[in-house]
Amino acid sequence: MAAFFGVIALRATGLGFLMITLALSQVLWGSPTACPTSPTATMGSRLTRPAPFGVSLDRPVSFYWFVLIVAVIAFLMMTIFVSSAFGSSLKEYAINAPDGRTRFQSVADQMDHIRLCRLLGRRLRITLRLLSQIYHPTSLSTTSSAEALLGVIAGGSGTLGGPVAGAALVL
Amino acid sequence: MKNYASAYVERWNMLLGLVFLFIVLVMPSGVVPGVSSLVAKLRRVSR
Repeated sequence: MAAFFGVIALRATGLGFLMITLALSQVLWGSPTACPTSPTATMGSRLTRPAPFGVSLDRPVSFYWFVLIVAVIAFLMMTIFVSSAFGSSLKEYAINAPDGRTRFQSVADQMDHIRLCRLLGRRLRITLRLLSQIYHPTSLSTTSSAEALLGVIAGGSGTLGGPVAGAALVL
Repeated sequence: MKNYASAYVERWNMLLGLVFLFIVLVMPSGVVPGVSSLVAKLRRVSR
């Protein structure tokens, strides 16, 4: 699914890319709700917070530090990826693409990029679900997705610190 | 803003709209690129 959505989303750049990601999140939101037999679609499912290294995440302070550590690790991973030779070549190619579209040199390059995005997205999504302790499609609703999109636009799309600044501003 | 401003201002959406207007008019590429270019300009002026 991530590969399929990634291939579609990477056809566009700038605001078009942001709008496509919003549209795809709405497809994901609509998929479980369109399946009336799924109990998760209507009721959601409860999640219990884990206790890594014996530290209970039920306490707000512990959970705050857990989220902060996950966010810092994700940010560092993205920074290393972008500043690596591979990330630099992707940026250069995106800027100098002949037709102005983001097209990577090979399918393997594209898949590596999508894999990293999927990995980070999954980690951060799990963290968000642990915050509310409920797994429900409303986390992908139009309001939530639009808030995230506004945060990215306000902070500055195409930058690493932009979404962080935008999230601090909007949320 | 949603968490903090809404505690003090009932119509915090209006505040959010004004902030977005400011960003679009003053820093169209976003806060981080806008602040970066502002800092670069200030450095050039101070030299």
